[in-house]
Amino acid sequence: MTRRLKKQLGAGVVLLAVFAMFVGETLAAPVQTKKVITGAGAHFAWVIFDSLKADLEKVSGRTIELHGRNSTLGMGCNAGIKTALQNSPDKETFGFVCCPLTDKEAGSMKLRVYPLALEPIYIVVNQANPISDISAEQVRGVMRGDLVNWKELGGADEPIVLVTRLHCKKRSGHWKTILPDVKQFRQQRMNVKSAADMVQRVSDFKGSLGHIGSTWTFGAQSRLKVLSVDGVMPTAENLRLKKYPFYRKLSAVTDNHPSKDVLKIIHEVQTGPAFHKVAQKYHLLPLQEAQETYAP
Amino acid sequence: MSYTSRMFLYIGMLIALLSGMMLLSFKTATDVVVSGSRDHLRHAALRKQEVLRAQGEELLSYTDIIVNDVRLQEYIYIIVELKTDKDGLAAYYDRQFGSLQVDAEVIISNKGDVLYGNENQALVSAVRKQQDSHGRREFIFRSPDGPVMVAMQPLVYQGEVLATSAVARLLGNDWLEKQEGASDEYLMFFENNGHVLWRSNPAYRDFRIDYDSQVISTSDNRIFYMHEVALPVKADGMPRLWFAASETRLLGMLNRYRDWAYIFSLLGGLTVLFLGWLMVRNFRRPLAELMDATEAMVHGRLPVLDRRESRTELDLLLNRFADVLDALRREKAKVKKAYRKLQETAITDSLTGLYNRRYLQEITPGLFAQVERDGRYLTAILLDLDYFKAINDEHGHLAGDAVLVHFSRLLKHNSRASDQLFRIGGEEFLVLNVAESPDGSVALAEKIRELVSQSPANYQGTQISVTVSAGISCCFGHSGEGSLSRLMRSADKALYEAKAGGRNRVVRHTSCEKASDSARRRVRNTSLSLVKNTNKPS
Repeated sequence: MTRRLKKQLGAGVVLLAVFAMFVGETLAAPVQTKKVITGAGAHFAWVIFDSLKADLEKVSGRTIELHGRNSTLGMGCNAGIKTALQNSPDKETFGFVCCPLTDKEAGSMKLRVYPLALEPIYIVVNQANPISDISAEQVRGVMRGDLVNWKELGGADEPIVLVTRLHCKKRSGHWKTILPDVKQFRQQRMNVKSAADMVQRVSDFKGSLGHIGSTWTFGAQSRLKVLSVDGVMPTAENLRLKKYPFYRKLSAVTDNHPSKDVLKIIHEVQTGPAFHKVAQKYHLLPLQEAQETYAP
Repeated sequence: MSYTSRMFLYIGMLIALLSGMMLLSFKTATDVVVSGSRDHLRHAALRKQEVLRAQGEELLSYTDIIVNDVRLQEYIYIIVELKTDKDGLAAYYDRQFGSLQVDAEVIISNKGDVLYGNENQALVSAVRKQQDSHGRREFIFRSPDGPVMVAMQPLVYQGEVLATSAVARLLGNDWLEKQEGASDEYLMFFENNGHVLWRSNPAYRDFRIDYDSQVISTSDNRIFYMHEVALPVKADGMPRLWFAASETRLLGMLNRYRDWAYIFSLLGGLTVLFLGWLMVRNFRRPLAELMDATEAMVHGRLPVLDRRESRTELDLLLNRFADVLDALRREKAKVKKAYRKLQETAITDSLTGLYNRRYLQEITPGLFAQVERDGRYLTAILLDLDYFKAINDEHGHLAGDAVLVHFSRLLKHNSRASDQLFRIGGEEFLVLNVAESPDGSVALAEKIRELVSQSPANYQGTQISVTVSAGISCCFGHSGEGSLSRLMRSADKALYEAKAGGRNRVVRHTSCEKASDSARRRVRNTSLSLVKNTNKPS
């Protein structure tokens, strides 16, 4: 091998190494996320943030990226908590949940909980069902399996198909306003994993009865209707008046070191004027009014 | 048989052999192709069989998907346990499994209730019959529209068998057509006892099936080879499925190859024939020349052959043969020359160069015949040197020979062209002449005598004088009595008289006197007749 060839090979190796370093650093460089705040969690709270997104970005001066539509892609309360715990100076995050966290759970996980609103839980049946009102006790009787035919509720002779979504079993509130324990529910039921499944099951079975949060948007193909309970419609006003018995608390969560911008965002949701329009649309009872009504 | 005939015979045999080989090759190729086609058909049928088996597996996999769907299990559980309406199940099923590629689906509860697919009554009946045997399985039953391949599997929820899910595919005309795309070259059909029930190509209806040779022919005389496709599961009373491939196109192609083979054989044969003809022609021409040359040689001729410039073996042979002929011609000329020399030696005297006695014997009959034929006179002058023995004794034999040569030269130089000169003895010479009159010979003899006496021979500076005596005899042609011995006896008698008379003289025999008189009379008569003839006109 000639000396000249050795020199050329050496130069080639050096250039290759420099190029590899450049490319490696370029690929390894963190994505510029400084201006982005990521929020994720349960669909029902996501609806609020998503509706207010423009206002929230204006207030915080940050870009907000939200995940949780239809609780897909592994989204849900647990995903909200997990996202909140991922918060760091370089990657600011927060979460939102549809169930109230206990103090013990929040403390052990070093989470801060920011209540946002109360959401009524609809009792839904198939559109073909002639029943339009049901009492709270009847709901609980159906859930327990005490009532198994609609004719017992004044309806047609049709077996009741109970559809439940018993999520967040260790947390209070939500479906536990109907029956506090899973074991109390009827065994012969359809237990679904998502709100979409709930809608589908109730739409499929004429004799079905299910429950779902008020912020869920029913699609055009869904064939279900919302029942009044004891003659009371599931509205924010009826929640405030404590006439409607089934509800849950929607909250935002952060770790113990949320950034100012994140707090600004959450505070805006809690107190900002725009939220009232959203609350009105989805029959949500805003935090302040809820605290007044449901203060311990 | 000539080489030409043989050549044509060989070429004809070659053409026949080539044609036979081509036809044999064609027949062999046909057998190989047909055999290969049969193998191809068998493999294709096996592939169809594999496709059918795979479709059965596919149906089974569909049932796997269906029975393992947890939501479906819940639906069915609710329906079975609560006896609620089945519309929800139908809605879910259609939504979830509507894209499965099947022709019919049913779900039948353990108690025999049709939970889904009630409109598929044939399938429901078939599945109910099979429902006693649990497990994942497939079967085939016959429906009015064709055989139906079914996969079924129990649906279990929380350890309890709630229902049976079954999916089916109709193997009727549409399915068969989908397999072969209404091809003209391939067919798939279900047949039972010679009756075709369902087929891939609706255009073909009336089949004639030959089970022994596994051939079917259509109404338009198309031929198909067929092979059975085994169904993945056995069933009683099920029609047999066949896969068939058209051989018409293949055989047509082979027939075209055969026609081309014939054409090539013919063209090849004609080409070989033409080339053979050219070869024979080129081969035959030099041979013909050789044969003509040898024929001429048989008749003693040595013809001149033109030499050829081409370098074929036959042309080289012909040129060599021309060389041989040239050599023979040269040798023949030499022989001829030697023969002439030998002949001359045989009839001449070696010392004087005059004819010898043998030649005299040879030509005498001719001379007499000439004399007799023409009515002329034969004159013989017999010459003998005087005292020649004395010359030999005095000067030696060599000197005698010189005298003889001297005399012969004088004789040659002074004789006439018509004279025949002979040396018939030691010093005896003879001159024969045929003429109208013997007088010329008498004058010649006298002239010779006189010259000899006046010109001595010279031998080594010595002048040897010599004289000669001559006797002349004559013979007239019409006498019919001429013979050499008589003529010679007469001449010898005259010579004896000349010797006796003192030598150096010429003596005529009486026959010559008579002959001279006769000749003169003939001349005179002839002259008179001429005069008479001259006067006649006046």
